[in-house]
Amino acid sequence: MPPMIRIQNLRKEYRDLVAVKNLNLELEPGDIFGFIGPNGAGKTTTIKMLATLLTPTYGTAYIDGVDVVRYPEAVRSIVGYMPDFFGVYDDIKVWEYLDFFAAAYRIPRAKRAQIIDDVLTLTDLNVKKEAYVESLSRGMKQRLCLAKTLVHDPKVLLLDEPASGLDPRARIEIKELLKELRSMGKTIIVSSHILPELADFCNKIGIIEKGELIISGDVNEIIRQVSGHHTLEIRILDENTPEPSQLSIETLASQTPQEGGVAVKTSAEMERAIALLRSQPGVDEVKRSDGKLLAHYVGEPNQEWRILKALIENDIRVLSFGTQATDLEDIFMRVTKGIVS
Amino acid sequence: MTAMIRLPVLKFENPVLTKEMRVRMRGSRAYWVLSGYLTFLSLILFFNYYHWWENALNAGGFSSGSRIGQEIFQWISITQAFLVVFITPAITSGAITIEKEQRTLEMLAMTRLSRSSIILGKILSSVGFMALLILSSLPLTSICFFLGGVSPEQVVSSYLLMLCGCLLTASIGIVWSTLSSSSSLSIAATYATLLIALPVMAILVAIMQEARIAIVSDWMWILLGLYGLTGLERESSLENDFLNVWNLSHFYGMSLPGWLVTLIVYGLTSLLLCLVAAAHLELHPERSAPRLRLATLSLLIVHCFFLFGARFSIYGSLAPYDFSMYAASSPLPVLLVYPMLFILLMTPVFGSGILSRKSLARPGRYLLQGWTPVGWRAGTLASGLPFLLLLMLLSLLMYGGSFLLIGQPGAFISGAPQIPGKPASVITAIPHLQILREIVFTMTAAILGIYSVSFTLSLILRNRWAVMVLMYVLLLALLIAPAVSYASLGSLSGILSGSELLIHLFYLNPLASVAETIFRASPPDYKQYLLFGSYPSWMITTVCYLFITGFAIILSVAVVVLRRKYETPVPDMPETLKRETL
Ligand SMILES: Nc1ncnc2c1ncn2[C@@H]1O[C@H](COP(=O)(O)OP(=O)(O)OP(=O)(O)O)[C@@H](O)[C@H]1O
Ligand SMILES: [Mg+2]
Repeated sequence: MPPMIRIQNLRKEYRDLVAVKNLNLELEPGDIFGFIGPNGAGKTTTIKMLATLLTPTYGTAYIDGVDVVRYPEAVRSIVGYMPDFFGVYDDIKVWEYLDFFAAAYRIPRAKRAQIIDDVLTLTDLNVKKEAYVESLSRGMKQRLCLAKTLVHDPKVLLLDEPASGLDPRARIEIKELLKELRSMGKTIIVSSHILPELADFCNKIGIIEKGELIISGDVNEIIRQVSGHHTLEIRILDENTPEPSQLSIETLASQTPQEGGVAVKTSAEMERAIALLRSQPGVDEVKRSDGKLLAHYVGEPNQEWRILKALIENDIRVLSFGTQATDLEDIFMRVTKGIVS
Repeated sequence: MTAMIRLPVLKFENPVLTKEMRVRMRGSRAYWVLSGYLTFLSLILFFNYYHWWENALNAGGFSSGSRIGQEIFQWISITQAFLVVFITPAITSGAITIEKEQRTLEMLAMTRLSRSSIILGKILSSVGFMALLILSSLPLTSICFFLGGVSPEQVVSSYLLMLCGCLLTASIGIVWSTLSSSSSLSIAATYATLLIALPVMAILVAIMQEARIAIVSDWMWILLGLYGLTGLERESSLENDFLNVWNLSHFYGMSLPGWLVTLIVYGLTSLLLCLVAAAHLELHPERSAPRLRLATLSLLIVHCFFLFGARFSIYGSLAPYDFSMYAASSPLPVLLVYPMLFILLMTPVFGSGILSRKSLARPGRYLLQGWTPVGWRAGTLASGLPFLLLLMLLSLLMYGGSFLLIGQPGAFISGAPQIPGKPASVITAIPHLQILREIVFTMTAAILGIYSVSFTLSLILRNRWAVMVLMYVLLLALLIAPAVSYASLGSLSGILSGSELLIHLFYLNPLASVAETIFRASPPDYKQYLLFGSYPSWMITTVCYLFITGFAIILSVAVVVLRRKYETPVPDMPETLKRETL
């Protein structure tokens, strides 16, 4: 299958600043690509170049085989772009707003009503069809903007931080919506700096820093490649773990175990567990935080069970054992650390 | 398959227009504007009528109804014209900036709408709304019909003129709207343009009349829009034979009344302004540069075509009036003054811009590239000079071509084509080629000088807008100051004092020098007050501008060298995040 998106040596300079440095990337149809980077890394610049809103200084990109520099008009009708900052028109109803964009995409009048209903259903805005756009909440506006992006049924979606500034609930709604779009077979590039958000529906990610794509590829591949190691989170029954009633402001403020107070005494069992973990092959560092043990695992993949086995064999009362969920964040920090500081 | 008849007209749809109209007509706002407008007009009408009634009672009898009919009609027309000119820009000058402020322009740009259809939708929706206002006054105007004295042609033409004026101001608003980053800036700029343009043009007209460049000043009246109105009245009087060229006669063989000429000029100017706006809406500025230049070029061509066409038609076969007096008193090269003024006014636009670090690293190469197709396509600052020179060449070519069009190419040498049916002796020959040569020298030096000053300012200020504003202030000062100084001159004393020394700035006004060259038979009055008054002005002007050019070149070389030496290189990645503005 030919790649749906092919970025070739894409470069953008603003006067004295190189915002994007010779980017190369290929995405297959149906790929969901998570584009991650700190502020000012060049995500928006890259996406805008793909959306034909900016001309690259050098290089080009092909979307569905069409050159974005030479045929911007053709590209515009196959991509849907959702900017990071956008507004809506005042004094206009939700359906009129969508009708306007449908007309602007030259969709015949007869088909529009059906399409508007479809995208409203998809984005769960059906009840708001007759409402005025400015009366919508932020999350609804974001979904409306996505609905607008979908009216011309684009093959490729370029979403620049679609969940920025939303509360957790609205964020989950957007996430569900993206999953639905994935199931519709669209190729999506979605940028964000909130990493866990991307982890569960992206199949590829790329990390950009200072305009350079530091790493890109299959999510799991990258997690393995970069981390090869991850953090094990272990909770054991600890007699000294303070009861909720014993918690005071001071104990919360002083997190370090050395500084006296109720929560600081480490039980013998805990000490034993820490010592045991340190002696395990593949564990290079053990920390204690909030009554949990964090063991940094760098050993063979899929051999973590040996550690659990060792703990149990040594009569340590393990309450829970798992890997920390923020893998992407971890990778991100690891990869970008050297450059940021 | 069923046979389908597709009417292209029915398929026409402009989504922007639909949306704007929907929003504009929503709620009670439109209703209140409409009733306010009509109330205002009715009050004007009422006072007029009352005034007439009272006068009539005092005089002990009614004067003819037709006079009052005409008077009321004029009042309504003028009031409406003013309302239109001042309401329309309020609607359009925010049309694009609001999309920028609301951050909706990018999404609009991503649709399949073309740039011009966005502009068209915005313009049509505001003009459409204004048309509604204007047409709603028709019942009031019809009162004038009852009173008599007003012809249907007058009514139709005055309404058409109003609509066209509305279109023109709407396009001025939309151009500013595409240029500015905020609505307030755009509205201020639009009204400033209207408020400044009218008096400045009037002053220019006065100056030109001073310099006896009648044809140019008449052209300016047309641009001012006043001509259309005067044309209505002058239709019958034959006092000014020049106006009749425009009024009734054979403009390129067609008979065009004055208001129609104004209509055409307004329409074309609006069209070009809209093209400029569409070009500026283009997200890739390097692509809009050639279009902008093409628009400028065609603006010049259209204006030259009308201007030259009107004058040269005197020498055609159809002239219904005797223009020999006029033709004898006004030498032909005077036609070139208008294009030259146009080019001078365009110089700051093409002489200002941003110079990138890369181009400054190799200035020689950059400047040379301005003369190649690559530089032209990119619309670099360096390509501004060749473009301006091309404009001059083009206007000269069109001028020369006009001699061919009237079938008297030989007259190019004498500058005195024959008027059919008149003896050749009516128009005396002039040293035509010499005049043209002097005009070319003066103008080339002036363009060089002004361009290089503006280039140097661009280097120093690094802000295109600041440069343009500064240059226009300078240019207007140069054009106006000496004339003002001359007007304030004590009539008899030959000695100049203080502010009157400004009169020497006449030397820096290339148009004054050009005019002097053209009317060489009778040198202007102010000449006696000038230093070097015995030399022809064009020589001094040329020398002055060459000096200015040299000075500017030295200054810019110094700036470049100093900057290279002392400026610390900008860090690779500034911390501040700059947002992309369209
Ligand atoms: N119009 C512009 N002129 C000059 N520099 C710009 C412009 N637009 C962006 N930049 C610079 O380009 C770099 C990349 O910006 P970009 O907006 O692409 O970053 P981003 O990854 O989207 O950041 P964020 O996470 O804050 O949205 C930044 O350093 C920014 O300062
Ligand atoms: Mg961004």
